Amino acid sequence: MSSNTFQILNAVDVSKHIEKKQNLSYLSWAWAWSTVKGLFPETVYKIYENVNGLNYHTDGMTAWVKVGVTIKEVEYIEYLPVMDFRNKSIALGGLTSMDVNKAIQRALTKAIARHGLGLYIYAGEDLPEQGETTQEKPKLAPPSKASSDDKKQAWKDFQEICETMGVDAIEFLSADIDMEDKTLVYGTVRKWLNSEDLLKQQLINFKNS
Amino acid sequence: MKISSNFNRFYWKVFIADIKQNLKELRWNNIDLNITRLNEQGVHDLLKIVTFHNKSLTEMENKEVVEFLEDIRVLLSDNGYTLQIDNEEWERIIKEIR
Repeated sequence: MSSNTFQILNAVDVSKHIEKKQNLSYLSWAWAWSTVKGLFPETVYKIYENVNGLNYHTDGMTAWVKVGVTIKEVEYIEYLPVMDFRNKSIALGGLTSMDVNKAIQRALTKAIARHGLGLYIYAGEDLPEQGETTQEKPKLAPPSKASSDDKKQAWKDFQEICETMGVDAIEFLSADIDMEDKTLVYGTVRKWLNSEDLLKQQLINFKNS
Repeated sequence: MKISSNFNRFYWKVFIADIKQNLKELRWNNIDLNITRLNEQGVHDLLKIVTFHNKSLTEMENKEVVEFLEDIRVLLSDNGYTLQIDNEEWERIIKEIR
């Protein structure tokens, strides 16, 4: 009943558990985890280590974490850069174990959201870190100001990448967002096009799931 | 349990439909669930989770089905909702299952 797993988690009212920081909303990872375990006790998560047994991955310049959450044999994997309070990647030399730990907690909450819990609060925004003092929203051009040609081109580019990876673009997007909401679809497509490598990795995960 | 057409009608058309149409929210273990976001199959699956009856109806013994229905009624009562079905019909259905 994997589709109903999503439906049930998506039906959980998270409104009382949303905390606000600098106009952005976020969910406590502890609450998200206890809720998902309450409804689906067999849920497990996995923090993927690198070949050296470290709990983060690196390309030599920055780092990211990889966390998977499995419910009823369906695993969603979240890759999240290790970021500072401005949501900027931290250079490898400045990385601390606390930064990695925070990234893992955020990735865990986002992986749970892929299963449906509080997914809507992620639409169009990323979670801020606790204790931050300043936060700028990602500066995406407002979809309404994009010309129809821009939107068509973005969609075409997005579809081409998906096709190259052997994934149906609509199927991929509809797993996470409401396809009826054209503004959300365009915003999501633009976001993915801005991080093509991450998109390709997620398409591989999606294909294998 | 062998699902009779009579029970099927009762369960999906009366029981589940009643919950789906009339109950907006369900609180269970400090989790608030928005029932309006679920379809009828989703309501059915949710009820199995929150009553800890994980088997399908066909795999349950008759006694277990009765317990399942009673547990749902208690849960709804805890949420301040009473099913539209009248006591007479309820007793008749329960008797039939037993």
